Amino acid sequence: MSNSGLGTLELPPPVALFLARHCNLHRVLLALTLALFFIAWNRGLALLYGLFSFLLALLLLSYGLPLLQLRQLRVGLRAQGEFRVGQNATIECQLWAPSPRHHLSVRVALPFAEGGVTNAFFAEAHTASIQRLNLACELRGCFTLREVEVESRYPFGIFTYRRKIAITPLEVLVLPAIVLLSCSPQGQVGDDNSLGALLTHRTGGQGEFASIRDYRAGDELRHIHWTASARAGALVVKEYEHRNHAQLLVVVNTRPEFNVGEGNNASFELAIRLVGALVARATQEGIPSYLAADDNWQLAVPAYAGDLYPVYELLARLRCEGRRPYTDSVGEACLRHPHAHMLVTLRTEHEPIPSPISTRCTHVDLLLDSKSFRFPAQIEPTNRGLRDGQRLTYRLRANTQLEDLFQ
Amino acid sequence: MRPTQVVLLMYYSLTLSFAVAATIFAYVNFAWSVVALLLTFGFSSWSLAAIRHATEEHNPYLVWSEKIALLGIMIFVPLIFISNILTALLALIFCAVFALNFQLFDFRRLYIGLAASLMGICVGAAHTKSGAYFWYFYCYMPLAALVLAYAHLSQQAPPPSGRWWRGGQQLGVIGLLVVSASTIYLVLPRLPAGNLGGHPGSGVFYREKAWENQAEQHSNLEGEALARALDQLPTTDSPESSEQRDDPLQTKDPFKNPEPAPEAAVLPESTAAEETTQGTSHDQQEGDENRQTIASDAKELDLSRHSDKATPLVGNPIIAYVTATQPLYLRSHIYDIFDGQRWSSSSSANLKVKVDRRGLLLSQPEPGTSLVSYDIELAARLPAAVPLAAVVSRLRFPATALSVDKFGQISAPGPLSSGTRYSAESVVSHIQGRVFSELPWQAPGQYLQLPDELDTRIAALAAQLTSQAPTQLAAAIMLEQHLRNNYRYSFESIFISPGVTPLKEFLFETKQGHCEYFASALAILLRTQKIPARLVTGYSASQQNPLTGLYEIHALDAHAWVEAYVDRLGWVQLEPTAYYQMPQTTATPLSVELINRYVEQTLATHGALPSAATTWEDTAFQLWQSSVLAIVTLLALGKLFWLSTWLFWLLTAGLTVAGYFLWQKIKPEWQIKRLFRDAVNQAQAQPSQAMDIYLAAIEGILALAGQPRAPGLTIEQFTQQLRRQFGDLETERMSRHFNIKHYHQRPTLAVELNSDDYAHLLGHIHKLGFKGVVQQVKIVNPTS
Repeated sequence: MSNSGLGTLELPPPVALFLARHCNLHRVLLALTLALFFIAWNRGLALLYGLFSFLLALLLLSYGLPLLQLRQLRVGLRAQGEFRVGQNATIECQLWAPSPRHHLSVRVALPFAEGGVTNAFFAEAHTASIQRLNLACELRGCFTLREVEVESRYPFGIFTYRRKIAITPLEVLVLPAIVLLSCSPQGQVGDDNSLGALLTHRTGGQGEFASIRDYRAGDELRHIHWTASARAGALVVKEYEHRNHAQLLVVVNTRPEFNVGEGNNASFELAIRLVGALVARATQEGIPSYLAADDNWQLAVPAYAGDLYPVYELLARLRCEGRRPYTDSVGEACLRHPHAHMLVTLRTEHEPIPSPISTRCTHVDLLLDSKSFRFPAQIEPTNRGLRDGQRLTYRLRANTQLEDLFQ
Repeated sequence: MRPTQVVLLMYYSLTLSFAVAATIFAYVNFAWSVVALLLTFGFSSWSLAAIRHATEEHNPYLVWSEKIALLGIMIFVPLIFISNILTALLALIFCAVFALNFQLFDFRRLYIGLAASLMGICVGAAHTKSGAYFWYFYCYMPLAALVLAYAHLSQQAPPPSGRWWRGGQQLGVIGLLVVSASTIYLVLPRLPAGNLGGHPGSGVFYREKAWENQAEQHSNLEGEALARALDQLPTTDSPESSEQRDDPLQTKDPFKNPEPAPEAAVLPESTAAEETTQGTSHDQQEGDENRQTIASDAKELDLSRHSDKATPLVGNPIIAYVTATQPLYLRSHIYDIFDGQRWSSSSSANLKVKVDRRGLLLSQPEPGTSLVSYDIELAARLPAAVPLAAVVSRLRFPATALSVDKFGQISAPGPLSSGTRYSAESVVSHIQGRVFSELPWQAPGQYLQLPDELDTRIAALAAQLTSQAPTQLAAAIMLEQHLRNNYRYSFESIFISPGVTPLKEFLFETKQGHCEYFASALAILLRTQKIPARLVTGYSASQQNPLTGLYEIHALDAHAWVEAYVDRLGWVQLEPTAYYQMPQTTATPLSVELINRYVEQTLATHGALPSAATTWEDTAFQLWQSSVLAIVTLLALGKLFWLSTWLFWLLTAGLTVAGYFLWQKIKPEWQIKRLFRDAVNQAQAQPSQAMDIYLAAIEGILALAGQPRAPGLTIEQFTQQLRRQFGDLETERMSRHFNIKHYHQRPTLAVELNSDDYAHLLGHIHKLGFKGVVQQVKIVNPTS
């Protein structure tokens, strides 16, 4: 059974609207009861007084019993597992009552979840009854749940009483969605520029041999392991420890004007996802990363870091409320990390291009098309990176597939 | 389909079945209602089961739905002509509900079906005259409530346990509903009927062309003019002549006599009940067609047939239903001449008057007088005299013309058929708690006539009894009370001397008789004291069925009483027969009172009737009567609880409430002591579990104080909270010990299982007592 409309019965829109707004079971029953009393009184029909008594008793129980069900209730919420945008999560709802209670519905406002609200129905609740609320996370951020609304229509579902109950505050951290980049931007930078120059800006040798790997476009010819290549039948290059000295610096733009669009499709959210993906890719490739935002937000991520949860946690807490000009933030980050071989900045077309302090640093300028975030339905192809000296500019739109961005 | 929906649909089918069965019971009878119940349940269950795999878009049973809806229309059209619009609509509604069963894909349709079934129940309740209909409510309403509850549950997510509602809990709620509804019904005051929109019409109509022609001559007679015209009607002086001219058995038939004489001018053998009884033998002898019908209708009233003791009387059937705001005495005939043995009427002529849509206006009520409005529906055939309460102001009767005699009594063109329904408004005045009627055109002098050879002891008795009476009304009441208190009612006397009143024997020898004896005696006693009096026959509508609210007139309610003209106030109604209750001036609004009165009257009637049964019909009827009486008697117990012992219950309720609040004060302290004592005892018995026992006791005490351990609170957080509330505690040690005990895999040392901290805390809390704990909790958490 569904609870939708009157099936094939098509009502005129004003009537349907009026019925939807004002007609419910409680009101219909109340009107029936009054009508029955009127008929019983007008015609002096004692039997209808009997039916009226039943309807009155039905209403009185519907008014009284829910109040008893809502007495002395306590509710606790507990987050289970990791909450991440685009994934399902579970919140455990525990209802405590000194005596058995029936047909209680706990309504939890979840601003980060699909629909914004979820319900846990307790057919029977006693000392510590538990229900699991499955939900789909939609919004990144840190949310504190402080109260729930318990609803009772016991026993006939006629009249609803609601009571707000304060709970032990539950902080829910919804992490940004994981994006797996198929390629980091450095490869393309190396194609046209001398990757060696990027990697050997420090004095000294190439460092110790670390391992071999498949050849990628941009690798220096001098690093090709010819013997191994001959054996493998494909080009294989040598990797050296010196790559660990490479550093990725990402400066997140937290200016309010950078945040264009709504909800999870806003430009800031896309930037957060992309930053997380860049750091994850860099870490995977053994490159330490530095994250910076505004003036007091710094995070160093070591190479080959096994647990990126702190990165995502910080990204989850990041809010688009920065007051400092973005160019200043970029400048200060470059000063703090002068050895970074790659600087990633994010901006919209209305913001000026931040300039890296170091001339040897490759600047990946991620330009987010604000118009596409305002009108996400307009789908336009994403262009490839455009190189201008040390700066490589990528124009991102709301529909850009991040996984293949740097391919 | 979820399990709840199976239960829901089963309850829904049962609800529909009871609604259909109830209406069939109201319109047909109980046996057919059982058949309808079974058929409807089977059909509804099948239809709902059939569509369980269908969807709104792909419903192979849609054609069934259309066919049933079409059938409903086909039934509706002929029913409009055969029956009435309400019955036709009822059939249409139920067909629509059955059609809806094949499209029951959303809850709103289910609610619509439920509302339609409720309408059916309501229509049945408006139609039925049987109190047994109430039991259909008791089946229907709990089922409908369960349907509502399961419809609500079905819209929720299924619980992990798969159990929605325990059976015991359901029974409890339904029991509560039934008890609440019964209580409300018992104490609910019933207001006088509003009768907005007019009175219900009648299914029978009377038309007599000759009467219409005569009535044309008096077409403008209404109110005062009619009263004056009646006053000028000729009277009969001698009882003999009136007996010759007004023999009801010769002149009653209006269809055979183009100029019908006033009927029933001579009091028949006994009262009106006996009138129909005696009519039986005459009908059989004379072969009168109309009377044959009356006799056949009144077969159960044929008391003389059962008077031989071998075939005792069984049954006291209902002959009319009255809807009124108060008990009424309905007059059929007035007799003013007594020849020593028989009563007769001096009214020998009548007027034919026209009845229009507004009804017949007999007297214009004066401003300020209280009008009693009432409806009467006949359930058996009666003589042509229309029973009405004095003094009629307006009568709405389904006839084109009526006959009015000198006393203002009204007759129809023919015997009154079963199903005849009429309504009237009467002016009923109450003076000193007595019912008075005023007929200003009457000359009271004629009501002092006495028989020629009247025993002198009668006048002496009356004089002796009324010697202290200051007024005529007081004298009349004294005589009435003398008869009520010193003479016994005897049902058998009806058959010993039918139609004849042996006044002397009754007053001084046997001192027992039926209502006619009592009424005759009182009328003569009054006349000896120069108080004008007359004998009135008719029906006592004083037995109100508490379930239907209708006054039921049984065969035994055919009655004779006295009206006396006292102190120039008017005619006061006097009830000398002790068997009948004194006329009530008001109706009892409370159901419990009605039930109690109904039981008392029914028991009195049963006591008066011979009880042995001879045929299986009699036995079945007696069983049915007994079962109804038993049920109503059970309901009457309400009076014991609500009225007779109300002070006791009020005190008990007060003490219970006071005790409850006192207990609420004492309970926490007592519970804390019990928790502490139990914890100490258990910890001594199980030292290894002491920590958990103490902790559980601490949590229990905090819960009593209004701050239970919040769900999900770790032991570290909980001990921190305890430290904030109860001072310096070794929270780290307490947490560590707890975690070691519960989570460490390695063998633990005794020192690590030390529960002293918990025991110390429990002791401290115990010393604080309930108020102290609450205070500590409030200090830390003011909102608690």
